[in-house]
Amino acid sequence: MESISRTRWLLALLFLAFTGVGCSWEWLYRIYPIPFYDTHARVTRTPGLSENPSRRIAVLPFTFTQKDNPERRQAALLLREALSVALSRVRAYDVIAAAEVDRRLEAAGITAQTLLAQTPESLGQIAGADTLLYGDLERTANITLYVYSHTVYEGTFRLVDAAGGEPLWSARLWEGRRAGLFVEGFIVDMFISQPENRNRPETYRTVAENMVSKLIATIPEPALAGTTPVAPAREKP
Amino acid sequence: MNAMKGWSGRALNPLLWIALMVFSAGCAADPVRKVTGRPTGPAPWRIAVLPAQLSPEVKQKAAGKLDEKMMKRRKALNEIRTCVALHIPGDPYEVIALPVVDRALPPGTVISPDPKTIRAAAGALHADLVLVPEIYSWRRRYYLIHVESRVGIGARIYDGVTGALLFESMHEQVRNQGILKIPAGPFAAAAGPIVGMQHIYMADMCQKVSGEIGEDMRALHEARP
Repeated sequence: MESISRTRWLLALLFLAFTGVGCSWEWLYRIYPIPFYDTHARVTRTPGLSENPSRRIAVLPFTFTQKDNPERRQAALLLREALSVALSRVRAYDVIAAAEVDRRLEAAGITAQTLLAQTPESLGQIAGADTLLYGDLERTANITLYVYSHTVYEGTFRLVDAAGGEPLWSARLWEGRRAGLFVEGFIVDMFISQPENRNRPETYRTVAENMVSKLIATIPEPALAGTTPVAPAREKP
Repeated sequence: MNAMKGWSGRALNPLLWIALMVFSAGCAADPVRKVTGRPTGPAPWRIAVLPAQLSPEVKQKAAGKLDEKMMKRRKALNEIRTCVALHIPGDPYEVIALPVVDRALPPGTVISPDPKTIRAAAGALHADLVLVPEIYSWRRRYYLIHVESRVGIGARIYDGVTGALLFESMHEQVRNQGILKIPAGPFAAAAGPIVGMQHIYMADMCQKVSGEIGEDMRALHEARP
């Protein structure tokens, strides 16, 4: 009887500890996927983003704070591609192709290491954009332990006005997929999910796409001029 | 005799449960990929992804209570449409931004597949091709010790000039979570199906299925009808 009451007190204290401290549910979720809880982006934005209908966005190469390695570069690339595609398809922004941005930066002698040392004005001129999207990945990880696995992205993303350097939008988000016996509790699932997580590009892509869908939901729609859809500008061969 | 009855009653219950789960543990429908024509113009093609529709099968099942179902499924329809739009390969296609399409055809608009309607939609959007996503299945079923999640998406592509159907693709994914997958303990047996009800699994399946449709679309400009 005494032990039951002690357990109740312990549970109540745990509940208070997690609800009392700001984002603690997210921290708990990072350890164990709480059913029906999902992470969300912490966003700050100004109305300036949606006021100007002619936003031409350059998605700059993402930087990462962890040690540089090919896996992280690939993870960053997948997320950047997914975000570029979503900005131009789910929101009607004019997005400069990532390959074109890379080509222009390379021609100007700017590398991922020197990117943040440049002013938004100069980057805007080089990339031919009036808005810049910076991405800083604090964490990317793909771990498979055969009883537990996870693939995680954590980062901060910023849209900056190239002309004045003013921040227009920023969001910080953690997104991950966990699998294995500890998480799912089923032996058959463990045998299926662990080799799946080893397929790094595919797993990173899935997590990146989920992250992008949460980020894009927080980016306002640009003010579309007029009511008639824009006619194709290109000439067919 | 009573002892026999009691034994058979006790044994029957777990057997009934297992039989129920085996029947409920659904399999995914066979994928469909049909190329029935070639686009009139040369690639790259400007493609408009129209608001997602309910497949004829879903409409039939929801007969009589379609309005309520539509309200509940509106979110799913939007999610499916976004998933499909994001997975269209960028090489032979130029996707018209969804908000631009929405100005001409707001979400919830039911598009008739007749060539005249398709041509009118394509003309309004300056599109070479028109893609109509369809929802075949989007559901979660909870049976206490077993849960089944199912996502099935179809896509039909029409020519913007002639209004003819050029391509059709349908894929479905099913995720079963329950004691047939050998739980690691009683807690896992009880909590596993609840964890399996999460939306993240639906979102993952939506992406996978849309990715498969995107792969099928990649083959469209190489395929012969």
